[in-house]
Amino acid sequence: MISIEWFIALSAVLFTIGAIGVMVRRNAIVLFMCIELMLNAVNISLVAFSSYHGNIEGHMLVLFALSVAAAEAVVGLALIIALFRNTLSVDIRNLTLMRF
Amino acid sequence: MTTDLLAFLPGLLTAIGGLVIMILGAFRAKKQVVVPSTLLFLLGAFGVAIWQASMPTSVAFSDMVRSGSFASFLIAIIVFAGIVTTLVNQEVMQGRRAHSPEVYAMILFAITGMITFVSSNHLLLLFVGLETMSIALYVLAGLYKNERHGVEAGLKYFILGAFASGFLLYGMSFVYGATGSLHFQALALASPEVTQTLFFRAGIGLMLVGFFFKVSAVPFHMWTPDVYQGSPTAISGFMSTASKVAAFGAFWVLLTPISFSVDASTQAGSGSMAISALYWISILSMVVGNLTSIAQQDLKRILGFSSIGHAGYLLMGFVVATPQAFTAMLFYLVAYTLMNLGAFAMIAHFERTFGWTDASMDQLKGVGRIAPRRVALLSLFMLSLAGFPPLAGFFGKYLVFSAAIEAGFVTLTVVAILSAIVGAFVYLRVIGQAYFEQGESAESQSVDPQKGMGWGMVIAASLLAAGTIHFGIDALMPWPSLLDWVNGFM
Repeated sequence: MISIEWFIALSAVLFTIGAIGVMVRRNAIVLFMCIELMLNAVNISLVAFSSYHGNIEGHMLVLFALSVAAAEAVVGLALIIALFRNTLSVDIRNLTLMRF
Repeated sequence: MTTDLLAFLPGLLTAIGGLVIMILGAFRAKKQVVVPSTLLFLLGAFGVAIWQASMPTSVAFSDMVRSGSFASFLIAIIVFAGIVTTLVNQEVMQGRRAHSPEVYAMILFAITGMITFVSSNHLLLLFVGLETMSIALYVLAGLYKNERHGVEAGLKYFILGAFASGFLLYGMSFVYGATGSLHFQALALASPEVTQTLFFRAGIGLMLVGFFFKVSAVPFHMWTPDVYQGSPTAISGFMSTASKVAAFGAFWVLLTPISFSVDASTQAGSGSMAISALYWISILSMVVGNLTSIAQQDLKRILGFSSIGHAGYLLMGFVVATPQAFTAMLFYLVAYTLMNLGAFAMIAHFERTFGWTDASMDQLKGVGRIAPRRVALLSLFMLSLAGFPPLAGFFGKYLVFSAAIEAGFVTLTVVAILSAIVGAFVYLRVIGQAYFEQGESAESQSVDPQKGMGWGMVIAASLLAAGTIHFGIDALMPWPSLLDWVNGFM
């Protein structure tokens, strides 16, 4: 039996990698993958807590989080395609029309 | 089961409405069919919400959903914002390629999400409601998909919104790990040993990040002006009001019991930590929002920064967290919805009527000569946003500030009043630009006098203007006022 700390540490590491990726990467698709990584890191911690507490609520939230992530992927990829059609690249450095 | 469904009736109506509009869109229905059916579903939901608001709070779906009093009142505000947005949008987007029936379906889905969000009594439902709302709003923000401004607004909103909901979900996971439950009641009743743990504190902190993002509080505000500028103007008005009403309402229910319970037992709980974070973020939002709006040249960006400032005033309610602050926050949400929707609606109307390519301040030069009455309406909403008596914005600010003074937050109130004065300058500059500046382009423009406001705009603008004036003075009137009604929720 692996203790819960390992799962939480794994999820924290994955979440941090995702969060840093969102901040430093410039490709919209990679950015989007990093966001998915963050959501899936959360899912690991939820499942771990759920089995630690021995109740089903965490598992439930994971199922909903997965379907929300899928819905988000639909809209996100559509927006990235719209960006590509306008600028012929998926580099978010092109998003500088409006700034302070 | 029937009582459960009845309790969630406004949400059901808007959800079914959204699906019906989607199907109508698939059969290429005309706008003359789509818009009235959207309004029909929204009016039904509004009626049910008003009726439920007079009933005491009840729970449904095995404690997952709250309805009645406070929650239904917020639903009524949200649905009202949806009605006004539909009325304005069908007029200002006429003839544009992006004006498809799905726009109204997305508005209805966003409202369904907001209704789920404010009536949630469980973190699972809170998350699902928030995401339903956000995903529909990402689509609406990127509606002008063939213009770079539109795509930029949509993508910026999407990336930052998804990033923030990742933090919110991680916070929920930590809170769940600390307490073993996702119910609001279980979190509020958690023992001090639980709430002192690092996991609980970190969880509340991470959830606050998601919340601050949704209400665009400093330092999580950078998306706001960009998204409001690039989105269709009527939709910007919807995003800046309805989604904030939903976020403030839902997080009030979630956070205040936690801060109350912890503050009562120990001084150093997670509650006081959350309160001090809220205190500084409230001050920062007011100061940064109002100061940066001075430098802006675009009307929609000005309103974007002003909504950051207004988020700061509303957050004061969370810091003070007394019953007076609660009623003040509800009143302020009503006033803010009316005046901000009105300002965005008038800008959307001018954009369409005068063929503006953007909403910069220069475009407004001389418009006061061509359309004095319509600029008078815009000025009314601007004065209310600035907080001039006897308008609703003034009374809302008065209630929030007096609740803060009563609870002893003097420094906070002084900062709030100073930043409100700075903000007033910006709104007055907009009015001055319209009335007193000579316009080079506007005078020569061939403006068709027939091209005034259509029926939708007339109804929307008169409802908003009447509300802005009435809620400023209705406490003095002999009939029952909004404030009495709101006081009844405590």
